[in-house]
Parts: sequence; structure tokens; C-alpha cells
Amino acid sequence: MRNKALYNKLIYRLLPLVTIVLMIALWAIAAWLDGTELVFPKLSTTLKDLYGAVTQAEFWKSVGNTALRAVLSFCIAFVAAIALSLLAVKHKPFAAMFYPVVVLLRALPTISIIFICYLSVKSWYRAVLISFLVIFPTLYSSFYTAFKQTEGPLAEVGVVYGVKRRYVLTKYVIPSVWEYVFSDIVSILSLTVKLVVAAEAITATRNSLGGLMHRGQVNLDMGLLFAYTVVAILLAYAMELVVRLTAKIVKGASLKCRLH
Amino acid sequence: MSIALKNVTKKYDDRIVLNDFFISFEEGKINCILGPSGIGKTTILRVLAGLTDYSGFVERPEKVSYIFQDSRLLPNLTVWENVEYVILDIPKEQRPPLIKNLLELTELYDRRNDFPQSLSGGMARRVAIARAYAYSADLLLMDEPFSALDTGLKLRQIAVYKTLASKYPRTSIFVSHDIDEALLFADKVFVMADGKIAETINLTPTGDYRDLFSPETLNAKKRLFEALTKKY
Repeated sequence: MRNKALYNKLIYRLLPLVTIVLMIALWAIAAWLDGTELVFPKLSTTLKDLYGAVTQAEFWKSVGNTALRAVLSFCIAFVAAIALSLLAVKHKPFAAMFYPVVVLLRALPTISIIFICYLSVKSWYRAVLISFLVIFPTLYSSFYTAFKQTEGPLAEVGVVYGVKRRYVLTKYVIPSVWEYVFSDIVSILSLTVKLVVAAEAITATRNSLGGLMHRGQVNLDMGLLFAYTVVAILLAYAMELVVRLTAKIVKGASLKCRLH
Repeated sequence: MSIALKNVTKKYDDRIVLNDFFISFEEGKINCILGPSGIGKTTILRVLAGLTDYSGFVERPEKVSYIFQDSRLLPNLTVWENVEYVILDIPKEQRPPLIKNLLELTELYDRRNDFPQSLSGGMARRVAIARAYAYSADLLLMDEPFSALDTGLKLRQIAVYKTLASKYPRTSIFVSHDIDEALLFADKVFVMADGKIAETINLTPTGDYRDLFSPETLNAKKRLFEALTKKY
């Protein structure tokens, strides 16, 4: 029984690796079929270019800037979404007034945001603002629904038993909201990296991963473009992993302290 | 402090659930409101708990505990913490002995670190009972406390209530649509029909669940049945 559980655990750990190997194999086949490396560079070329890139200071500065922009944009959107969704849940007139803004931001084409920001915002902050405007409505809606569901039947327990507001908040509202929005937060964080890189590439931002990708594309250096793409994927995954691991550690530690 | 609803009217949109309704409960006893579904039994509990608005006059103690029909345990808190949630105001050192005692009485002490998702429906109901008794209220409200329980579990649950009621006495009001539940558990039964109290029956209080086949109970059962099936 125990062996079967271990076997299953191992299988489920290995299955994603199999998919990754398959995707790399597909890439290799596509590169072999292409032959020119103008669309699909060889794996060896990409790895060589990646090695060349990571040995340069500009690369790390660019990755750092992109990561910083993504984190900054996400944090601003996160705080704004919490504050405004809470306000909307507590004050219906505000929710009604703010609704068109959310709908507008949600429907606004990303490319329009990029073009508008291109002329009016300083280059370093451009990608921050662009990704903020794209992720904010999703985060806002997620938090709004999460806060709204805490007003349901479980909230009546606190009302009947006269539980103080601060305890309702710490013991019920915050954990419930966190549980509800966590998976959204993780996927939005990855999306933020994607958006920041896209905005940097389109607006040709200096000292950025997107800017480097833009340069690779202009110079038809597909090996380098693929290398930076791999870095962008790893960056998004690393951020996701950091959030997941932190949440797991905090949850585990808090549970340990709470047991009787 | 008397517990009563006087000339209470409650509407949900255009639908009148309670119209100039009057009921006065027996203090220190287990009161039951018996009646068909949808007649307004839960609304009476919600009015008494201060969970809904109404017009009229309500006399009730300041502190009320409520066992909801669906247990309503907080999913992110353990069994222990769910009980503790309603007594966070009392000094920290006073909480553990009270919670331990209640969890032992409800036979849940071994499951104290488990989360509600891992409990059966009956266990979750017992946590809700422990939580209600942890709170030092003068009135306990129970909404269909034995619904969806098989007979064995129902009798066990009644025994748990009776044990807790003897250790932590308080006036109790429960609502039910089941005559047997009312007879097994209540000291006083109010039959609700056509928006008012159609019949009131007093039963001899008992330390455990009541014998359903005693002459007194059979007679009460007949009266309750007649009151529930009579055309008003």
C-alpha cells in the first residue's frame, strides 16, 4: 500500500518532466525542419547564446530591472485591488461608481495601453504602468468576489456570538480571502512577467529583458531571442515558486504553532 | 428575563412570514417550535438572534448562542479553534480547560486538531454544539438540530445535549418539523400553524431522551398530530 503511494507520487513528479522533454524534442524537430535557424534556432545555438548572455553584466542588469518592474507592478496592483475591492464591498455606491472603470480596463486592448503609455510615461515606468493596468481589473474582481463571499452565512457566526471585528478579520476574513484568491494571485504573477516583458519589447525599453529580446529580433538573432525567452519563462516560474513556497512555509509554521 | 416575541411582523420582500406574531417561551427549559417547513420557524430564531430586521417587540437576553442547521464551522480553523473563536474575549488561560471539557463531553477531543472538512456531518454538528455551549449565553437557539441524522445518532446527539444542558444550564429553543424529535427532546412544544401558535403542550422534563412509548408521550403525540393536521 505504502509502496503504491510512493510509486504514484514518483509518477506524478516525473510526468511533468516527460512533457518538458517532449516539448524540447518538438523544438529540436522544428529546428531541424527549418534548417535556416531564422524561425527555430537549434537547441545548441540557444544554449550557446544563453551562456554568452549570462556572462555579461548587461544581461543581469536587464533581468533585474524586468523582475523589479514585475514585482513593483504586481505589488501596486495587489494593494490597490485589496483597498478598492474592500471599499466596494463595504460601500455599494462606490462599487457602482467604480464598475465602469473596471469594465473599461478589462476591455481596453493591451496594445492601446502600450501606445498611450509610450508617449506619456518615462521609459523605466512604462512597463510597470502597462502591466498594472492589465492585471489590476483581474485582481480587483478576484478580491471583490472573495470579500463578498465572506459576507455569507459564516459571517453570521461572528455576529451571533459577538466576535470582535479584529478577530473576525484575522481568524475568518483574511484566511478565507487568501484561500480564495491564492491560485489567481500565482497565475497573475506569471502573467505580470509576461506583460512587463511584452511592454518592454514593444516600447524598446533600455536595460530590460524585453529590450534585449527586441534587439535579438531586430538583428534576426533567433538563438539569442530564444535564450531570452527561456530566461523570461524561468523568471516567471521562479516568482511563482517563491510565492508558493513562502505560502507553504508560512502555512505550515502557523499550523504547527496552533496545534493543541 | 423573559423570552418572547410580541406583535412581531416580518416580511421578505412582499411575502409576510410572521404577522403580528406572539410567543412566550418557558425559561430554563427546552422549548420546541414544531411546524411544517416554510412556516417561519427559522425566522423566529433569526429574530431572536438579532440576525434579521422586523417590526414589533422582542424580549431576549443579551447573549444568545445559535446552532445553525448547517453547522457553519470556519473551514480554515481546527475543531479546537472553531470552539475558541466565540470565546476569544475571555482571558487566554481560561480558554483551554473550558474547550477541553466541552470537546471531551462531545467526544471530539481526539479530533481537536482536525479541520472541519475531515469531519462527518454528525461530528461537525457536535463541534457546533460545543461552540454554542462554550459561549456563556443565557439562551440557546437550535435550528433543526437533528435533521439528516439517523435514529442512533439522533439519540446520541440528544444525550450529548442533555449532558451539556445539565453542566451549563440555559433556556433552549429548537425548531423542528418532526413530532418524534419534539417528543424525544423538548420540555414544552409549541405547534405552529397558519402563522400562529395553534397548540402548546407541556411535557415532564427528563434527564435523557424521552420514552416515546409512555402513555404521556403517546397522548402528547396524538395531540401534536391533530394540531398539525387540523385545517385552520
